[in-house]
Amino acid sequence: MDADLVTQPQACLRVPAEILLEIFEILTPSQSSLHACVLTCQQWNRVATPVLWKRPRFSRLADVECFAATLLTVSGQPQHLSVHNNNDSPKSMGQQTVCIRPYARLIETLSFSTLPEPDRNNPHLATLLDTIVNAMAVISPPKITSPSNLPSGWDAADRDSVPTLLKRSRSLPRNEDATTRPHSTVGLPLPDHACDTATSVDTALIDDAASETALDEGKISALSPQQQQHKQFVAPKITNTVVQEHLGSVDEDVRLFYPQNTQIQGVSSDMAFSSAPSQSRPSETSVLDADCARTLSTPCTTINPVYTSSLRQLDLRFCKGVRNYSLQRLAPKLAPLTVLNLAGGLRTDITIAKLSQHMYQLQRISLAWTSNLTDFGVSELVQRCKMIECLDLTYCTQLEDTSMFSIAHNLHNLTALSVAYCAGITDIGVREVATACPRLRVLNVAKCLRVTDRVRKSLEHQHVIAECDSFEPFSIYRFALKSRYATPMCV
Amino acid sequence: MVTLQSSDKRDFQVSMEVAKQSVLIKNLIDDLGETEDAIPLPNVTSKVLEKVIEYCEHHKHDPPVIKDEYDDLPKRSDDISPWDEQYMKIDQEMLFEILLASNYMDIKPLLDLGCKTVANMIRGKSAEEIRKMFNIVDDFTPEEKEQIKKENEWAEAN
Repeated sequence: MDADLVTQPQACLRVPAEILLEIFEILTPSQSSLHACVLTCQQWNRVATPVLWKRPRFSRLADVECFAATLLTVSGQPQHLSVHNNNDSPKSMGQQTVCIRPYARLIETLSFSTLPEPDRNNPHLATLLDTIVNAMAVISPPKITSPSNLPSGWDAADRDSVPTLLKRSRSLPRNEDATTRPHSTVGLPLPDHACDTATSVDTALIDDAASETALDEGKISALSPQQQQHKQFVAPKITNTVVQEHLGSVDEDVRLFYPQNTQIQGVSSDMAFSSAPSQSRPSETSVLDADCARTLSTPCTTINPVYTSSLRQLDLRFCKGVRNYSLQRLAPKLAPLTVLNLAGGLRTDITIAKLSQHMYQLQRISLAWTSNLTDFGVSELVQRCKMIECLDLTYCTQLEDTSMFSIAHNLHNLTALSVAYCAGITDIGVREVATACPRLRVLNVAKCLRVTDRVRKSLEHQHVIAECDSFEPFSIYRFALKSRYATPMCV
Repeated sequence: MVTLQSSDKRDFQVSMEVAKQSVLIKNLIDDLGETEDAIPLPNVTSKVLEKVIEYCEHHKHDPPVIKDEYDDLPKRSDDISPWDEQYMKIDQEMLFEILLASNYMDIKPLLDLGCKTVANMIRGKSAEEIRKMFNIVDDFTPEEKEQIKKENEWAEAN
């Protein structure tokens, strides 16, 4: 008995992190338990924090607010956005707005489906989503050599890419928009004066950095000493990533200032890097893209920064509070999404078209109950997001066979499609999809009044499920997995 | 038959199918061929090894676990079979010893069972209760704790 008491803390503490991780992952459905684990001890905190932040769940809007506030205020070092936190006031303010947010990199799945309906319809939700997504987005360096960058790989990679970015920002008319327009990170109340000083200080920083670049134009490695100096000038612990992240926000300002396709005159050919398309695939293709962009570079190019983010799944089902406009604005920063649920959110063709310009990695998307959606929106979507495996168009009543044809010709990986309750779909469209998509397992045509029994039978003959309950979003996907899981998908 | 030797030099005779549930031993036998010599398990005491063998004996006819290709669902912890539940009615020290042993010997189903059991113990408890249950020392400074509390406040409710 005594011996047991002596060794008890031992056995528990000897448990390695990977086992703790497994235990905490089992606890994922019980967020409050994970919360308790985070507060238990240092070791548990380190292991449980990423699990807790990986897929946060919210039961009310106030929680989302709290969540967003943490993302905004938590920096690498524990520094908060408090007014009386100033040893050197303007500089420390500047540092706070460009801080690294360790929590932001942990979020993979963001879902608001657990909020009550009034909260989902609250326009404030859009502001909060904006804050969260902006905090998570990191501008991806338009690099030639090693393109696929995760935020974690940045520290090694950023040195080479900074000059390009600096040059880029230098050529932009940033003074006017930095001073006249509000800061782009909207959402949470930031003291007005703090915002102003921050912006001006940061602009000064970029100005300096840019003029230094001018001295060393073309010599990438020569920049780093100055860069080092800069770190000291601004704050002890500011890093290259910080500078970049900030440049990102300036770029974004400019991009918002000039609409998407506006061309800026007199920009040097270095700008071609930035024109490497946002759809640039990882690895080799993007090398090609960058090369192409260089050889084809003209004095005029568009500014279209590429963002990376840890966010992979976004669930905005029945979140009418998130307006189409805010969603469109966020589109570039949602680029890495693989799963997107927009069911019942009153989305429009234009929104879908705009989103699909960026999300080339999309695998599953639900647009169910989007009565505004027409064949145009679907065509835009499938022409750009060709990786889609699961497409839920349940109750998109305006759709006709044109949609089916574009789906058939573009989505070669399609495994599950629902067009249930789409009265405009006929035998011709269904047959087209069924013959063109070799991986199709589910084609839900429940209540499609113009689809005849003969076609349903031939679908079944092809071992394609022709009817299933699709009231739960993405349930068709579960059918495609042979209903292996009894619990509903998280998105 | 295979002979396994615990850290305190006790030999255990088990059948091949029981022993091979441990990936560690399976690989050893596959690589070195069958051997008459005892296989030493220096990290496992006889008390724990006995218990581990009991589990492997009972589960020797289980089909191999199919690996999930779509792992975006959290694992469930309410699907423990009655026998396993009974098996896990042991003191905490033993529970963690079995976790460590199954991790070392690479017996995935037993490791999963152990993790589920611990998870079920944690579920619904406060940080204070968890520390008490597992004899964990609170090594946060008050400021640290305050900050962590603040940063994770959103998760407290559900």
